[in-house]
Amino acid sequence: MTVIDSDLRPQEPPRYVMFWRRYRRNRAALLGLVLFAVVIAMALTAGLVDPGDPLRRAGVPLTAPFVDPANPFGTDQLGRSVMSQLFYGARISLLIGVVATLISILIGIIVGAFAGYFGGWVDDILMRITEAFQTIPSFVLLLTLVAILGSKIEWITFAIGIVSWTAPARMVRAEFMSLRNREFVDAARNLGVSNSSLIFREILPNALPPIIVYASVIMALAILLESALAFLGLGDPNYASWGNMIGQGRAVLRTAWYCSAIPGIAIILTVLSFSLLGEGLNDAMNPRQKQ
Amino acid sequence: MLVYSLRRLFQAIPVIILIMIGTFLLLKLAPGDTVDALVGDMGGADAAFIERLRAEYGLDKSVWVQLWRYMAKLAVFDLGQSFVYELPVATVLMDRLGTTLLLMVTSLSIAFSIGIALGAFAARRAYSLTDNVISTLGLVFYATPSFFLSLMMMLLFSVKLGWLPVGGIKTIAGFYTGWDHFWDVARHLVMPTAALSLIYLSFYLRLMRSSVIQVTDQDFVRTARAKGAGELRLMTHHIMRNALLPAVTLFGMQFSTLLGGSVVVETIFTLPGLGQLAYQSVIQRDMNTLMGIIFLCSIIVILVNFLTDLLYARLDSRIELS
Amino acid sequence: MNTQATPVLAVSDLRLALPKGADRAFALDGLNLIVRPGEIVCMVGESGSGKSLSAGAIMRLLPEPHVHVAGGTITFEGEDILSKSEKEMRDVRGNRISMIFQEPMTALNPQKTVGWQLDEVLKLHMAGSRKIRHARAIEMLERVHIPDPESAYNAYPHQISGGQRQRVMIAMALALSPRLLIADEPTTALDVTTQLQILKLIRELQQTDGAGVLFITHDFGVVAEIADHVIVLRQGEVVEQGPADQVLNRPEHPYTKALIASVPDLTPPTLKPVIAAPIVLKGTGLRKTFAARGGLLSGKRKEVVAVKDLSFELSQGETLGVVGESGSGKTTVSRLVTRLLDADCGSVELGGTDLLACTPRELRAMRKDIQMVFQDPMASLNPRKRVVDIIAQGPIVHGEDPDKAHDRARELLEMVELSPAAANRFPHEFSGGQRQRIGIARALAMEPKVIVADEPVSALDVSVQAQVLKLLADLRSRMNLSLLFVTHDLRVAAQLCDRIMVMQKGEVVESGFTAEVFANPQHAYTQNLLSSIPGRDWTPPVRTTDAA
Repeated sequence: MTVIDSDLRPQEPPRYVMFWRRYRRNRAALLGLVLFAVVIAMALTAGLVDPGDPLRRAGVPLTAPFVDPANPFGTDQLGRSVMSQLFYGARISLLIGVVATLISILIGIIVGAFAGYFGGWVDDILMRITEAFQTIPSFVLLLTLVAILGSKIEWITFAIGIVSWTAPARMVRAEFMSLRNREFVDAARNLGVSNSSLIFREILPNALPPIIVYASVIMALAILLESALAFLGLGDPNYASWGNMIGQGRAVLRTAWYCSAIPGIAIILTVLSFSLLGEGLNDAMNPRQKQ
Repeated sequence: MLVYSLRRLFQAIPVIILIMIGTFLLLKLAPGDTVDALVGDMGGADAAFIERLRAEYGLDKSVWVQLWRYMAKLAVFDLGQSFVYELPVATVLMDRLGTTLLLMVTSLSIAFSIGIALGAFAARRAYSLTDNVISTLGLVFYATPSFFLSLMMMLLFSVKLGWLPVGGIKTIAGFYTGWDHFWDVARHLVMPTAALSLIYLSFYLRLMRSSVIQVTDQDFVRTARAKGAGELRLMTHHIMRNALLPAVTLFGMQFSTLLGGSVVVETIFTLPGLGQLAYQSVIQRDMNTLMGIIFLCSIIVILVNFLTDLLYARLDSRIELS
Repeated sequence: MNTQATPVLAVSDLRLALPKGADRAFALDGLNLIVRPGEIVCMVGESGSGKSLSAGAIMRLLPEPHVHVAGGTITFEGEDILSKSEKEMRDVRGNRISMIFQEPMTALNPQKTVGWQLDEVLKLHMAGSRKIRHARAIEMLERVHIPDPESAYNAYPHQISGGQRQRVMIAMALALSPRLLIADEPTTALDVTTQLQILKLIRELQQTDGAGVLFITHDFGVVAEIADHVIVLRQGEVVEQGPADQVLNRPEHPYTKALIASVPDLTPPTLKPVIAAPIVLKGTGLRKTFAARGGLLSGKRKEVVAVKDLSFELSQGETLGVVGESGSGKTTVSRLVTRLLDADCGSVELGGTDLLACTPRELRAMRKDIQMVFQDPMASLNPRKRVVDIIAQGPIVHGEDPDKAHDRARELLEMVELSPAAANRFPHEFSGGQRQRIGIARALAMEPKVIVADEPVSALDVSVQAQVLKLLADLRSRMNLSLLFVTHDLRVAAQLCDRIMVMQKGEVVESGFTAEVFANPQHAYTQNLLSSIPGRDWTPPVRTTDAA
């Protein structure tokens, strides 16, 4: 009469199907995905839109948008095409965003995993270091690093990664502290599984979802940091960058405000897409939190 | 309480020492030193003069000797001499501190209070049109770079409308006194404050919204409902205080980020504060001043964190400081 | 009892609709019930039966719009509850109808004092000065037998124990002498001795006030203890209702019979003929203290002794029960003998080798011989691994060929009565009982000398619990397993254990053969524990029916 407990429930569809179903429930997240796709498309097609150097003179300086069909978004004070710079700038923003995020997440996972798993003096030392990094205002540290390392794009990316690892480290640590005493970890330990396997094979996969969600936040912050650096004239001068465009547009703000407005909107939409993407990922990966 | 405070402040000392040693060594990695920068400004000098300068600044010694000397002086709060301003670093910093504090305190108070109110308001109408509008605006402000917002405000309010001054902390050669001085400074601070607070407001808004939604789901809120409490009472007596706790934590954690954000805004609006000084010191390689800024900022951040912890303990009855 | 009295509560044909996409359309389908003054009506059902939602419907506190009333009427003292405005309902809630919840730990606002929260209900519904309210609050705290009511009044919820918090909840619920009290699993989170006190308290207060009580529970022992009238719910439908005596002793519906049959019998197994079996696990002088922090931020640490000088022996093929309430140290024992926690001193000899003296490398090899089945079926399986990998993991770590280990894992699934087709699924696709079976298969995969089971059935519904216990008993006799069985539930212990050790505050107060301890408990604590078992005077009637 009672349900016999050994009867199985019907099989669930594969994980990615479930993931997509939960993701698409959030309409704002779908919008984020579309925006994200547009930015990626811009980065990929930059070479097709303008095969030449985006920083060369392409027309009469300070042409307004929608006047010259060769430069649909107009030109800046040096006659460079705003549209080509915008497309090439998408490359730089994405590249710096992704690589800097990977660097910061990697450092964060290593520091957080060891601190959270081992606790004790390992935790004390690692957390003092994290605290030190958190205490220095990150943008001041970033300026200092760029001043020392120079304005090459590799170093800028590295510096952004270095100033943004503390938050993921704290998150990973908190996840590890709560997971390390979970019964499934005890169960694996009781099977004779080694510490490194416990950290990387048992706990880490379970600690990842919130970190992946947070990666979208770091990516957004990385893009904001890069554009701020470029705006202050500390970006890599050899590449077109949105922040750089705004910084140079500042000089002609009175007459040609579109030179700063267009890349500014591009930054807002890109960062917005990451935030929305992050919310969608959160809904899809932490189904318990849904309303 | 007193014991706790003393212990907390005592624990901060190694962190500050760590920061200062790290920064010092980092700055020594930089190609070229202050003397190079000075000589560059002068347009070149002969080798003997450069050597003399190095010896004068103690730069001819090994890095470790320099570090030791610097830290020994730091222990008595001697931050050395600024090469650019030719004044003690401490004097330069104190000159700038007021502006930054003023900017910081106003924009933080605005961001914190409005962000919290709006977040709680949106959460009570979760998933409605009002909530969607508020949340979307929050996301857009969150995504806006502070320098871009500043520029656009400048374009609108200073260039197009001419309502507000473009930059500076007061009208040059205005010589205002009393209330006139106050209003003059206030007018100069409107845009920088708005730029910083709009962006930080979005942080608190988002955090408070999700925090209130979470607390509303908790058992004790259900208990209060079952006691016959109305929605307003639930909010004021049961939800708010519990939902505020994460916001207070964030307040402390984000303070150092906010200090960093002032670099961009102060530079754009040419406000003579610490942020602008930091930017100039980096550009001019004024290492002593840069070290001084990092030292001062660290102390401020640690103090603010300490104060937020005290506030948190006051708000959360589960925590007893002893 | 006066059956002629006007009912306090009459529910007829109540239907609650669930949102689209739920596993069924109605959370409750056609509920009829009547609660009379001075009567305790027990609503019994397993998880998902819709019993808690019916309480929400009466209070008009459903999680709308997800769940809403789709039909039927609820009449409280002649008034139609469903047609009342929200404002009118607020006057009813806490005043004429009040409620007690399951989780005393989370049901009180952590930021307000007990007195403030007690005062709130008075302030909301009673005109009276602060002084009068204070006097009333103190009186209520006295009535629920809280020692030192004045200091309890000024305490924060985290400063008092779980049982006391539940007393505060009851004081709050009864402060205005409501006509109807709804108690939603009020004792489930409590220890047996506390549970009995709380049940007695509800009984006592309800009799003096003459209120009607709707008591929601999953536990037939509690029903036997307290009910006048019983309603059995299953998947939103009422399968049987009637006077307590009739439903408990002469159930008619097969589901009721099956549920009652699943309640573990209190009669311990008969003594096995004593054969000199070799000792497989021997603990000597085990001790463990934890450094507990005083306040969250203060660095003061005071020591808490979790286990104090514990020694025991477990023979081949024997089941030794470790019984105790929360805080008795029984779970620590299970972690010490498996060395998931390091003991302060003592030894655990497993097949002649001291586990506690092993080097980390030796220990990893030794772990093969002592396996564990955990309490929480949700937390004990890695959610990101397939079941077959979970079961095969141990043998593979110890050098077994992966293909062979996977084949063996499928065999083990069959042994725990699960289809091998389930091997490639993830843990969340299984029910709680099934996950516990997977946990058992994981332990068996290592062919251990000893299995330590830490509350393996406490998180399961009673009918599932019976099936898992039966499986454990079968496997034990088939494979001659030696079990160290940790439980808080004396009924479960009586079912499975040959010998038991009763623990209190880290110490063994009594041990011996289960039958002897149950028949003739020596220590006062054991006596108290045994006499607190809910429904101990009731012998379930239908033993013959198979639980499944």
